[in-house]
Amino acid sequence: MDISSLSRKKLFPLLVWLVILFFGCSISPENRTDILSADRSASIVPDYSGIVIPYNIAPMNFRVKESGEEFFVCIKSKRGDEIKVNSKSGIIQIPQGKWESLLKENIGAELIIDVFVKSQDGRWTRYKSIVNQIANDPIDSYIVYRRFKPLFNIYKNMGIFQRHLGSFDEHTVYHNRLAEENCVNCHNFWKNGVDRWLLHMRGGVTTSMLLVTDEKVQKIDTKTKFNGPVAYPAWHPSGDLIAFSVSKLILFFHQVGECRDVLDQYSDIVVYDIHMNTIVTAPQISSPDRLEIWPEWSPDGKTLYFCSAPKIEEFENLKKQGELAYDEIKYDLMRITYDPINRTWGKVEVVIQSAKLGLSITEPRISPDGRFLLFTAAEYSQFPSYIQSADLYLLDLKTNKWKKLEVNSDKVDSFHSWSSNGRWFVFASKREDGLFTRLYFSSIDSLGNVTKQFILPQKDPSFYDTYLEIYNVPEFTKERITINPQVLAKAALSTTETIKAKLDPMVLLNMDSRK
Amino acid sequence: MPESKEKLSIKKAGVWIQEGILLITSILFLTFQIHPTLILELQPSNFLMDKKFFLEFLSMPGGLVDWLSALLMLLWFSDFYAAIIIAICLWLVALLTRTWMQTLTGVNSIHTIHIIPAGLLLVLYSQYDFRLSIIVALIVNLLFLNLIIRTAPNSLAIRLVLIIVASIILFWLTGGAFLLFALLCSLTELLIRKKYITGLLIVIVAFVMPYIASMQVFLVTVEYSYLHNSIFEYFAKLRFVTYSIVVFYTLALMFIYLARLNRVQNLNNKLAKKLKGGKYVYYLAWIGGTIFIFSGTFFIAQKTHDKVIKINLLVNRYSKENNWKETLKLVNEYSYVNPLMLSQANFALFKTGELLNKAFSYYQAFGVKGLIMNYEWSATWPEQTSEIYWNLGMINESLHWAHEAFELRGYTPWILKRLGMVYLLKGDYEAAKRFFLNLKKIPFQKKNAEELLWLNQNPNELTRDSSNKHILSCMPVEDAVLLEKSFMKKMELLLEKNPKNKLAFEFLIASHLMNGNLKGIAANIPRFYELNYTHLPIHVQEALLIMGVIDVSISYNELKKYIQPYIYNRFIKFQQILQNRQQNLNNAKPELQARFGDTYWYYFMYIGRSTLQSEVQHGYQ
Repeated sequence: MDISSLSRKKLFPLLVWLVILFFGCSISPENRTDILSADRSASIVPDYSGIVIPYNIAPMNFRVKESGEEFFVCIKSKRGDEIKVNSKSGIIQIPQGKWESLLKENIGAELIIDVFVKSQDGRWTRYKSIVNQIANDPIDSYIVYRRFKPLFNIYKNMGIFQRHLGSFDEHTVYHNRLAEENCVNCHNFWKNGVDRWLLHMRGGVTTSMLLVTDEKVQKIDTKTKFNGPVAYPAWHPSGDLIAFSVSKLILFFHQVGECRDVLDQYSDIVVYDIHMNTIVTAPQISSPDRLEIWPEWSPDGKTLYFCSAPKIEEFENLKKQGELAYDEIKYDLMRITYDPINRTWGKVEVVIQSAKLGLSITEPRISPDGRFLLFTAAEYSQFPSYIQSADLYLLDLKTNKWKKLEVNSDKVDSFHSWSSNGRWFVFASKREDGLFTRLYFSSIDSLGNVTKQFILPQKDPSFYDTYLEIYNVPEFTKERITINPQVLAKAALSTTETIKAKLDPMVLLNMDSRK
Repeated sequence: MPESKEKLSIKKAGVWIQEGILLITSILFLTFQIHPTLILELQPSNFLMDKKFFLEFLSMPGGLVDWLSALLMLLWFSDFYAAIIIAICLWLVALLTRTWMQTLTGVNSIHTIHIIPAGLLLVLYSQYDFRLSIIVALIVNLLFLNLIIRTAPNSLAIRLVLIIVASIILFWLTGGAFLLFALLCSLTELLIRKKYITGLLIVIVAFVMPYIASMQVFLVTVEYSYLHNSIFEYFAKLRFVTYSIVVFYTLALMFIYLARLNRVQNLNNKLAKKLKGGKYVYYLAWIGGTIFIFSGTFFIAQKTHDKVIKINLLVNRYSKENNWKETLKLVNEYSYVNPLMLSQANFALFKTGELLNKAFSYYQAFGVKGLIMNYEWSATWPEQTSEIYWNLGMINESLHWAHEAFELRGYTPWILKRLGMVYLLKGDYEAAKRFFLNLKKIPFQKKNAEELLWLNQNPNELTRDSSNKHILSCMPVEDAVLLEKSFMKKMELLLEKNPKNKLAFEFLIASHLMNGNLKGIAANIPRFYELNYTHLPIHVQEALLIMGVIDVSISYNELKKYIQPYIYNRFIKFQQILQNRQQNLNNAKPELQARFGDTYWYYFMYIGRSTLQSEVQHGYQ
């Protein structure tokens, strides 16, 4: 049919309709005059509202949790181009490049997120702006964590991964399918770098520590006459020594609540010299009357902090013979002076008594400037990951005052780590469901004021809804780990190139004198 | 001399009939002999319709074939459906083998011989742990092989590039299975096309590629890189069959090479002339070949059929289907028992109300491990242990083993549902929701998942289901920690919470019986009456009689009210046999076994001695 044959009567309404459709669609909701205003901020998931964010963080994609047919989000700050995102589903995925530029142009300024939602009747509602703050200090570029399904006894799929915090790139540092599906844990980095770092492995021939120094991997069998395999490492600031705890762990099960629990039958602290390949300890940190664990060096290397509890025999239940009052095992925070030149130990001193706090203190981590000590405190236990009451506490080493942090939840909050500039910390929390640990970040200023936490951003904002793996032991690193996972696996499986750690003869002498 | 149209159509029909026979007999053999859904008991389909899940498969060599096979296994709704899927796969192997042979020989009447690989694969299916992905990988490789041979250009360089590119793609799609493709391409170049350098280059590239890929591209071991989805990955059992498949293709190519030699061709022609009137020769070869191949296949399949594992898997399936009668029948008929079968049988006995009456009719050689498996056995069959704890109401233990199963088997409907249900019953609704949301991503589970998600939002409705109501009534409310890992303590704990937890009670009594703890049994007698037992179960009466013999302070008159006369009379006869044999246990054993093998007395005297330590051994680590 020729268009001229169409009557004007028919053509005119069609044109009007097309014009309305064209302009109607092109007017962004923020410029509309017929818009409604809500007296609250839109609910978004994950909760990225009222937070302080580093300028080098990946786009914080989110889902608008308001009912509507269409969604529009405008992200802006003082300078630079606004980021506008339209969505039918409510899933807001922010373009990486625009996000990076906006944040970098507005360091120290506010980041405003305006959310608009179109309801079923076609009317748009503008919610109150979500205001976040872009911090002056960057966060370390990478985070390294262990990722696996909630673990009991069997582990088939477990890996250590490094995630670039400025993007969504995750790469595998090591995966246990490369080496007999072994258990891999306790990755730890000297001063948040990747020049010297280590990880532990358990299972068959791989049971060892892999020590990486300047891209060279060494498999070290840390078992000696004094100790079994080591765990919970802490690098001395010199990078020459590593303090560890050595313990015998018992896994047991509860019939109600969190199923899993562990206790140490015994534990001590040892120090490994990476150059001399020697393990040393002292009665002060490996007393037969105490359970010592979780070592942490002060940044000047002259003090070793650790946690300690009376020996297990003291918790035998007097009311019920043969039973153990496991829930009364509480650890104190201790410290001991250390002379790094003469390698001598001073006297042990109690920093916080568990009785004073009423909780068991574990996982002490000191800020790089030495001012604060972040620790976990829970009802009992040396392993807070299974204790839902576990929370983060901050001890000001200058004033010796501590406080419970605002970032805590009613579920497990533990396994924290400091960024190299001391202005950020990351921790693992089970706040969402009590089962799956996710990584949360928070900023901290020089006075110890902490801001609201935010979850590790993911490309798909619904990612955490169905993801059935947990993240734990997050550790910041400044650089990317370049060593090939296959090289680590080859070292782990090697039986000929294992370096057997030596025990300092003085330890043997001490052991003999104990007998 | 070209064959007549009539002869050709007869031969074509002959081939199709043969392949039809392959399809039908495979379906029948699999459906009625193998029961392929039993394979799901051993290797349940780990599958989610999810982008991230799919991409994870793509990050592994052979991952796409693994993903596809897992998807196909979701369609195994019954033995028949599963048999159809497997039979189609086998037929595709035969079809692609025939096409390959026809292309290389130029002969359109290849018959019988091309069935051999499919037959050998069918034999492997008699083992239950053979994976579908190996067949799918073989099909993909044969498909590529046919495409390459049919479309390969004459230009040597282009052909070489084409084969190498195809090898890379095939390695990514199918894993180490691509080596067969590379080997056959290489041999074709060497023998048929006489391009020796090209042939060698293909071999070298193909054999180096998995090594480099495992070192630089994929996070897999070198062994995985070479073997995954190849026939050699299935190596532990029936080695001769796995070897034969590769040897078949290699030899076939050799024969084709020889057939193309003039001398052999001449010989062929002479033979053909001699056997003129060859229609009958063809029929003879066809019939003989068909009979030989099929009877050979089914003979080997029958001979190598792993009946032990089949019984285990059948017992598992019957238990899942609450088919207690068949469970007990199978365990009873079969002389071989293990903790898995015994735990299923004991649970079936409980369900039929006969645990304490007939438990010792079965060979309770594993003591309490036959009630709930120990760590080693549970670690292999975690779903079964989780199920028993679930029924006991010990849901943290059920959770524990469901998590172990999750780590071991991945995203299966049963595991996701169980984990979700446990968290739901525990009141951890957010955790439960995550498992149900994943269940929703499994094809055909959407409705089920949506119902569970609704229940998760309306937990008050949980008690509408009687089984949930029962579990809730049995669940411990106050925490307890069992550092000693004692089975009996666990049962006592459950009984503290709910004295009417009959399963816990009968398991407690059974464990006392199995451990020879007669005092423990005596102490629990009042509980039988509290639980409305009309009279004491047979094995308990039998145990009391032994107690009366051992403890001289207990007179029969005291026990009389508990013991039924026929049981007492049997016991007298039991004792008489022992006396006749001068209390010599070895001498008396055959007769006692024949007449009293189903009694607690026989267990106590002969079998129980080796299992009395079970309680101590029953630990997690």
